[in-house]
Amino acid sequence: MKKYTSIGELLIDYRELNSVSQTDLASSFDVDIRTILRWEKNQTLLKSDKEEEMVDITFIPYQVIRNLNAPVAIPTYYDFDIRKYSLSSLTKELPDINSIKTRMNSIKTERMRAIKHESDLEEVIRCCMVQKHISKSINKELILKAVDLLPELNFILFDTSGFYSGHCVFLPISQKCYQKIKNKSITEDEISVDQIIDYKTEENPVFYAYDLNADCNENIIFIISAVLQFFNELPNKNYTYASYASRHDTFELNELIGINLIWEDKVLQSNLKSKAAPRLYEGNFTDFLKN
Amino acid sequence: MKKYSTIGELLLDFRSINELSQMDLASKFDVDVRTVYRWEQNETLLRPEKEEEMAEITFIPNQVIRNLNTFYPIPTYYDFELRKYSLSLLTNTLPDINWIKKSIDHINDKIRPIETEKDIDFIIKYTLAQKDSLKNISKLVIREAIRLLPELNLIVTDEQGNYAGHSLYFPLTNEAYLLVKNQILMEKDITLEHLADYNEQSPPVFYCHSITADCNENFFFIIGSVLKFYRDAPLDKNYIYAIITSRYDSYDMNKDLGVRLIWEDVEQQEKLNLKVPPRLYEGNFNNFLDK
Repeated sequence: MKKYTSIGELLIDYRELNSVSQTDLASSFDVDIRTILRWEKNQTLLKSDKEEEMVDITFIPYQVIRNLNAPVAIPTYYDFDIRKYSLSSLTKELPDINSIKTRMNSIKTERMRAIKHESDLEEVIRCCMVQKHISKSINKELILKAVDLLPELNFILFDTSGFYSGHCVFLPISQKCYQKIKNKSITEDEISVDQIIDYKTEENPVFYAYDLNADCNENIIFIISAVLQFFNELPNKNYTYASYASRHDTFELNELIGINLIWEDKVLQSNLKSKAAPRLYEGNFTDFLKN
Repeated sequence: MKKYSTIGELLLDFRSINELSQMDLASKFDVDVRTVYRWEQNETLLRPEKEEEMAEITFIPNQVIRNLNTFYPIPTYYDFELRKYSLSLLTNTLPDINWIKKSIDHINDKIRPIETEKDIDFIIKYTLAQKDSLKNISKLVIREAIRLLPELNLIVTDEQGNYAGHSLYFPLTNEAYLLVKNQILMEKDITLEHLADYNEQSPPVFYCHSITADCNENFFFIIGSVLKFYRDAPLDKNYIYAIITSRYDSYDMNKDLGVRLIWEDVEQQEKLNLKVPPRLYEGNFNNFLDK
């Protein structure tokens, strides 16, 4: 994560990472290009009513913008690749999974609910596309069917001001379908609606973690707790958990939780210039939850 | 902790807790009394340039002010008595001490020894805000304690470099500690003659005046640094750690640390109208750190 100390620095990085020109940005904000120049040089701040607009345009969490768009900025860590911020060097890394495990039953928030609106789907897909290895996102119908059959693991999270802050999307699929992904005969964006199954009637269901994300450690804790609680209470322990991800900060977490790396795609990594290789994990949380 | 959703609410509480009139506050800010009234009614916001001044006048952490001084606030938890804020329900309670222990070697550059008069002023300001008039506020004693025991007299700064918390320890003579323990000597009456080089005492007494931080992340750094001293310093392992505290949020942590409650003073609690009684804990951290 990078430590930002001014709003100008943040805007410059945003433009560079998204290959947006100053003219493009000016038209998104509907301001003169000289205004953008002044923001980037920290000669003027955004008017506070423009902060909300900046969240919409840049998809940067509101807390980051609030902290930096100030005469005396509050330095804040942010990583565009994983859309995560941190107010302290301490929370740049993911939270301790064992601490979450011991407390999981008491961790609840009213800021979380099942995905349902069109606007929810748009936020979720926008966030998924931040990840470099996802070239084409899965379609909305697929997510809606997954919500229908597995509402416990398909939810969206908002921050205390009501802005989108994270989500969790799991696809319940059959072993047969999963094997095709595992031996690379299909890619995950080729999963079709009729391959989403009712996991309750399946002997060995696969819970395919399509995408989990949150904008800061506190919100990540809410998501992980909800996921662990679900698997802890699931009567059928003969399930497979699987996920295909490219986050650079989850290696240790996955090791602690006891899931196995099946393959990683170094070629794709170098093509995408991503920090970590896109990789497939597989496992089951039963042992981890028992200890 | 109380959840604040507007800057007006925060200012109203600041005034009532500190028994200040709108006139008093207006003169501190050097504004018209009608301005204070409009702030409190959320009719106008403070100009961003005034936020720093507000942090100075009210001693409220800048992060709280930044989150609330906008028409689109980020609701934030704050406790005036503890001078602690939290951005999420999860961090309203103190952090898990075992997690701190595990990450004790986490590098941080936010901790430094208490050095300047300004540092001492912050500590006294904090102490006076606690409503617990049992605490020692003699600058002479504090300065001497810092000279004798720089390892445990520390300041933690926030990302802007401002005061965010501290740890203040008095190395007491054995005689002085016994007087405190037997409630013959009140902490506020400790003088220079009660302090000594801990290496010359058998056993050494590390008497904690106060340890605090404005949010859990900074608590982590300050507690971690203190525990690191007890773990690594060449110490007589029969040392005595002691603290008189009236914090209401530290019961669990003291239990986890394995320190014993020696007495609690219900009479003082009633007299000072405190949430919980001032109480003396004693012990050492050998067991906790070896586990």
